[in-house]
Amino acid sequence: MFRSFRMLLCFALGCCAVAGAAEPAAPPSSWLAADSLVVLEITHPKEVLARAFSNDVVQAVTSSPIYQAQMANPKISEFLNVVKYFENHFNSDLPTILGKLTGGGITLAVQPQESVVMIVESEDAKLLNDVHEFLLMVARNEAQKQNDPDRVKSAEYRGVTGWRVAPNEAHAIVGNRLIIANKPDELKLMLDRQAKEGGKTLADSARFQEARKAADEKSFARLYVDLAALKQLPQLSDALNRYENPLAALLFAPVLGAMRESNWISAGLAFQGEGVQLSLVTDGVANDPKAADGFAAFADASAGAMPNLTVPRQIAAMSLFRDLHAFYAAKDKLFPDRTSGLIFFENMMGIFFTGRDLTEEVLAETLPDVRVVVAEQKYDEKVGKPEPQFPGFAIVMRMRDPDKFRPIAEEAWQKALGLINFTRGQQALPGLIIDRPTHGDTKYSTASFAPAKPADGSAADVRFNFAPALAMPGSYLIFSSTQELACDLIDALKKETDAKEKPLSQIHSAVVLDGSQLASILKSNKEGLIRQNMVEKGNSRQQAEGEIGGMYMILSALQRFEMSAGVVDGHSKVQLQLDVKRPE
Amino acid sequence: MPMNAIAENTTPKPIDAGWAWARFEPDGQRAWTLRWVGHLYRRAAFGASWQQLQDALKAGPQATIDGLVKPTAVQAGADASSGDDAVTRSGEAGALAAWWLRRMLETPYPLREKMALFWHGHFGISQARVKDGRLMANHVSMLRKHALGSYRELLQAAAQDPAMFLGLNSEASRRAMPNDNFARQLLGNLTMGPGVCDEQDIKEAARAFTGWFVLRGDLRYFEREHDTGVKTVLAQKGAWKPEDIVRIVLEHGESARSIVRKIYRWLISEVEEPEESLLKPLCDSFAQSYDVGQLVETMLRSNLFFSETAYRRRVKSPVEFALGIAKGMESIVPTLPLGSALANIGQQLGDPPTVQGWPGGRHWISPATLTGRLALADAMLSPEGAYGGKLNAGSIAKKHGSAGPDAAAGFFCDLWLQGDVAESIRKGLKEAADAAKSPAGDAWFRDAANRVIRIPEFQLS
Repeated sequence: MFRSFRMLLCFALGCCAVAGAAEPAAPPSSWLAADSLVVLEITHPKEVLARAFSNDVVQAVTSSPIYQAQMANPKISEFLNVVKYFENHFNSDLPTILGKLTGGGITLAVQPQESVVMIVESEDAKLLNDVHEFLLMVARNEAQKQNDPDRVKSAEYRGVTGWRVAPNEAHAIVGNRLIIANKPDELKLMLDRQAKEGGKTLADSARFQEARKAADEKSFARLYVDLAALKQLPQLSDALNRYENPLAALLFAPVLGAMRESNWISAGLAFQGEGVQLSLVTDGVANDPKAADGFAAFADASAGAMPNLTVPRQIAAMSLFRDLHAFYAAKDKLFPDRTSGLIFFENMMGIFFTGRDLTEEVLAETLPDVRVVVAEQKYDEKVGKPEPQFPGFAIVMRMRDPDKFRPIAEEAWQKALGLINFTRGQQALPGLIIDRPTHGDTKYSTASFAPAKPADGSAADVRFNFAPALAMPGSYLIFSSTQELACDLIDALKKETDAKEKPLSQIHSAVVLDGSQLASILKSNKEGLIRQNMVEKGNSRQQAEGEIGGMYMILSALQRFEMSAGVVDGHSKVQLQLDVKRPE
Repeated sequence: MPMNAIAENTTPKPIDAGWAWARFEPDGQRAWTLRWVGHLYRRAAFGASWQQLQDALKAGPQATIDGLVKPTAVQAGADASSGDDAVTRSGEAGALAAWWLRRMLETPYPLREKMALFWHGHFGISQARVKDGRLMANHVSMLRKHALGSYRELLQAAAQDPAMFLGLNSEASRRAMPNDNFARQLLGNLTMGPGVCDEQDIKEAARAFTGWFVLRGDLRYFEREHDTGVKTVLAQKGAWKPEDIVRIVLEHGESARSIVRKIYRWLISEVEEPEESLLKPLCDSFAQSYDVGQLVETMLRSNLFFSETAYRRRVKSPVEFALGIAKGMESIVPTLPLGSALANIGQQLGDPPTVQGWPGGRHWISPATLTGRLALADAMLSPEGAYGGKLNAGSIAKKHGSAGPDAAAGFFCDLWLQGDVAESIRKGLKEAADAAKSPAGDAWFRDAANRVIRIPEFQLS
């Protein structure tokens, strides 16, 4: 408790060393080193505080199981008592005090030599003064109690009083600004820069200025990362230049490639309705189709991923612009350590595809349009609900020559089912029964387990989560874990074709996630998750219910998450939109 | 006079069976002290909390044993409702071990779990061979249900348990080709022990099990595959069926002797082989009823149990080692990682290494497993990592009035070893406590607990 209190005190004191003479307002970047590595600017803290302390949010948080569980912790209630005392002393509530103390903005920077600094601009110099005096008094009393009365120290530098209340903290107030550093020398350097004697500042950096221009103007918070400097770190350089996992490479190569070509990252966080939007921009673009990881390069300006498909009870969807043929053809360059595993994989695929070459005769038959859909299932009443309940998932691809590739895909699929049935038969487990029904105009293949309700009334077997299906409407190819999802996708693709949907220009990845649907599947599996939590964490049932309930609450509040990544105005851009639902 | 010497002097040599199995009544020479309370809870349970030790000290031995062998209806009800079946039936990797460990920690009826663990080793059925989580969960439930009941009923239930047949690679036995694995285990390890019956008895008994198949998780009987002919088993002739074989084999005097010997090793001592004359009264009685609960109760209440013949004469299994720490710390630990950790030091619950179960005794301890045990204890007491600070040595010591380094070291020594260690060890603990220079934080409580766990006697039950 003492340690957390001391940290709070350091921050709070940081928020208030006594103001000296008024200074003309210079931008925070002029206090920072030109070679700052990471800079976070919260330009509108009051807007953030207003949202964070709104009645809805406070009510939702205080009624959440996590909060209720934390309230049983004496350290938390002790902390809240300190906050209450603080509010009474200043005759105001915490959000108002914080709003006045930080209303001009907060800037946090990580600089070379492990130095971290923060600049806070207050709206009310008198309040800043009062709070600082109050907290200094508390710090002195604490130091006295710990038999360390000399812990709180002060010194003058360039006419400014600097304070220390902990070994890794130094702060001062200049005008209505508070400056804090984790090293006293860094505090002096900041004052030197203000006196124009500290060399170049971040405000002079062309890289910083360029990144700032790229950030969304509506942002309430901005982040700048000097990628050129960070790429000197061997770990980061290695991570950007090596691929360990083929799936991760397939998903993230275009983003990692852009970072490899970039000098900076600029991020902006802005409120959008009830949600927030995060935009990440870099100055580099990776669009070389000849590169080993150039399998997401656009051939022309109109190329891009198709919009995500929408089906009933959809949890998530992903649309990727990826040339699978180019990806797999580059496997030896991308994953040299995985050659033997990939050869085994290819040999296996040779069984299903009747000896065809996986690269040239299978993957070359697909277009760079890969979509994945995940949706909650409905279960057959004759079977009951299995435990656990898995969502249905499907992959949708497009064929270059459907007439040629359809029988090849159908044969491979039926061979795979045969292998599954044979293996299950060896273990005396029920097998899949193959069927060829029709949905709309599409005749498709599916396989399901014969219904068998457990005699003892317990949940249905986990196998009833699966009824795999292969459907090939038009030029599309759908592999689905459930028959129901395959049919929904046939409908969704028909709608897309009828609407003559166009690709999302220059977008290589698009993801959408529905929080309430995700919460729904969590609710369906609640009991299993609670039990898992109990043995995994050693929690009591009540604690486990609290944790899972908290997770459910968060997912319920997360209405929709969308992400798109691609090239905009010559910059690589990743945009994330998070819509939240006001708690009911 | 040291406590050891008093108890040593009171154990007659050779041991008189009448004295040995008579009820232990504390007297001036053998007082009811924390030493015997700790001993009882290590053998009949998985260790105890400080409060349990103190309560038992006040209650006296027989009342404490009453609570262990005859829990109240409320306690038994609470145990039955722990509701772990759904998870174990899912067959997920580690779920059976995790939920069983949790039950061992939480149950108000630890003796039943202790005996279910004994039978688990005795039957030696492994999930790796059964390959069906639901059947394995049912098998363990069967062991639990009969753990302190009739061994006759337990064997009859085992002869109808699909997991038994799968676990013994005996899932199909045809008239034309009888599978003798089940019969071999039944006539050997499960009853009379090795070398009592001959190969012909086993082959004849196997004919009684023909017609039984495990198909899709169910044990099924096909009349046409059953050998209806006359079989001669242990000199008894008849058209025997499985239940007859169970009866015949239990009628053989060696069966009761073998089981009593095994339970003696489990509850009394695995160091010395007991004399025939010492076990004779128990064997005679057990052969009549095959009442396990009565046998266990007799052993636990006996003079012999509370004597040097039994005291620290077993090596703790990994399960006993880890749960003993957790019980003392009065908290539930994450049992999923604990199950994996126990497997790494030689005891994978649900997967005995062979149909003979775990060899136990000194086989538990090797340089590698000992290092593993100490590393596990350290991890369990650590505020971070897989066990997430669930066991807080500082808060337990403070709760029981031992806030300083010296007092805490003494407290942990009393909690787990009841202070029964050599004077030099006590002195070492005190010196280490005195050297604890950083009063801030609780790390030194953990160090003190770890130092006690590293004492060799901690490895003994």
